Amino acid sequence: MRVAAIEGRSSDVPEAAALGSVGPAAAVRLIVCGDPLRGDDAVAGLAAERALEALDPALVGAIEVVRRGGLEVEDLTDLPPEAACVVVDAAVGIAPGRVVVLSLRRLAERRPGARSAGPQPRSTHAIPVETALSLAVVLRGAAPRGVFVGIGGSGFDLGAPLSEPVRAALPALVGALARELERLAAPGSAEPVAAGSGGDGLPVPGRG
Amino acid sequence: MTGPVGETTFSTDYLTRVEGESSLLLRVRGREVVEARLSIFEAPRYFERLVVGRTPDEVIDIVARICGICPVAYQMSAVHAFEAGFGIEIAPEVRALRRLLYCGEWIQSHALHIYLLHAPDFLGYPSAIAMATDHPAAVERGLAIKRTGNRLISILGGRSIHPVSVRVGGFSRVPRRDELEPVRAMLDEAVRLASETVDWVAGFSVPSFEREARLVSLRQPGEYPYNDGRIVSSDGLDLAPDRWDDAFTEVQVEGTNALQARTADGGVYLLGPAARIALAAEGLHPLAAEALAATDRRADIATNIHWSILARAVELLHACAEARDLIDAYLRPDAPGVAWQARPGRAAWATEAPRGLLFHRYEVDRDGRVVAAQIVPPTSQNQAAIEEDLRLFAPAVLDLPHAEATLALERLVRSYDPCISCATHFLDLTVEELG
Repeated sequence: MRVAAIEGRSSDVPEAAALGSVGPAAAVRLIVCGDPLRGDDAVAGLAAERALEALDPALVGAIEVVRRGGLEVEDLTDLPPEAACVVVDAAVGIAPGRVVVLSLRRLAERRPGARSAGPQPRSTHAIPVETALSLAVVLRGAAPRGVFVGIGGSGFDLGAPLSEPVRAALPALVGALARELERLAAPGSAEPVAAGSGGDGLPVPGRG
Repeated sequence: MTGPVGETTFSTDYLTRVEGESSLLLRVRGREVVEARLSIFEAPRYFERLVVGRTPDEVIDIVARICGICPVAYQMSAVHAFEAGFGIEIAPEVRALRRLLYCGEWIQSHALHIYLLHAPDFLGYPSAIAMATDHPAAVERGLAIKRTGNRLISILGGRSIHPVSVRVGGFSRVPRRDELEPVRAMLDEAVRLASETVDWVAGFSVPSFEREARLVSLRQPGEYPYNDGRIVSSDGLDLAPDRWDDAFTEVQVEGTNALQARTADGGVYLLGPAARIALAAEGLHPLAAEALAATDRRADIATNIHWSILARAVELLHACAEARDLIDAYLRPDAPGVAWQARPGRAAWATEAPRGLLFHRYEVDRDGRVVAAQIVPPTSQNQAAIEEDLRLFAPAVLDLPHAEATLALERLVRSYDPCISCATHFLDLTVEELG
């Protein structure tokens, strides 16, 4: 598998390429957030590995993987205008094990912390996804094209395993992530069709 | 907000723009603050237990996971502790690379705090997002500096979050000179932007607040303290970096999951950029020293914690300038590290994390495995000083409207750049007025 991984250890690309920004061939930047030592916070990394293994190798070559403890603003501000972005992370504020896919543009249109009828994931990290995204929108002038793929988590203690709801919903998260990567890495990809409660995105059935 | 009869309660859901999760309780009777408590309720730090039975190099990778903002600091205190305990001498080139790695962490951490977390307080914005709308160039400047720090850590540490290259005796791999060239070019710009940062924050209007705090930091002749130096204080303490526990102790305090630290006589003390500027400014890079002198604020930094943003900016300039010098002088070590053998017994050291002194102590058995560990983060050491300063500062804001008073207290706490997740994540602020 050829994956341009900035932070990961599993990359088999040359080191210099692994440290660079999105290469000209990378159509999608996959930002994998979480800490593998903190219970359900490990789920994004597990899902990313499995989703990439499930994809056509030709598509994987167009995906740049960035592993982070939490989403950083620069990950979005540095994104070339033509590239898409997928952020995968565990979230609180939604039922444990529930998988959601939210358009970054639609997510950015919401004021951080605002309530609506749709899913309201709050990242488990210090700078919430909405805040980093809103800041990127101000600086870029528009939200990056792409989606947030999240799963509700329930336990983030150090040394803890995945919670049962998250473990059970991992295949659903992998499937949702693989579908979004496949769609966005394909030539001529477009924004997801807005659907789901409150028009916030496309909730994917999971447990919880 | 009115609570039970005779009490008034101020509260907010979250004190934002701090790293971690905790709550603050301030109880006021008349004009007297009867209780000021920073309660840290995130799960306790299991790391001291997680490292038991592990080898030193495993410990270095594990402790990096304590914090996503300052993983290098945890690695540095650990690796120096083991090297001190095992009698390992590292090559000067390796020592220089460790300082360069630490520069990277200071750059990204300080740029994050100054621009995204703290500056909005002084410019009247509720968040960096709101500030960016009116001051996009300032935020871009901060992100450019932060990017430089991340790049340094990526090159030296293998990745920018939780780096993996630090090893007992040196590194797992050291960079070729050509690998440092791209970040060397970035540092020219970062030095210029950091210099602008000092000028920018020096012009901020900060709240009046004076107190004489006991300040503690490392001090090392001829250089600004990162990995080495003696533990000194504003009242004359002078200790070797492995003897923190001779003069300080940890205590369990009701209502918090983090241990607090005190001096042996029960006193509170302050760590971090303000303490370092007060105690060790003579070691600053000439560019940073000159910038600090031009502000004429060194004394203010020691007595008014709100000026910590200026201390942080001066240190940001220092770290960028020293990083540039270190790369210019870089000689790739002949080997990434030296061979070593574990020795049973005590292994301890203190280094300067971006937020202040970070002490590690390990007990190692005959098989070279850790049997006990003590990790004392800067925020848990500053926790009592934060509470003390809240107690002293609160009377000045009690006559303000509720929202303004609450905001002023939040700003005070953010001045310490607390990293709650290190100490044991969102701060739920509650202020109660009794009578």
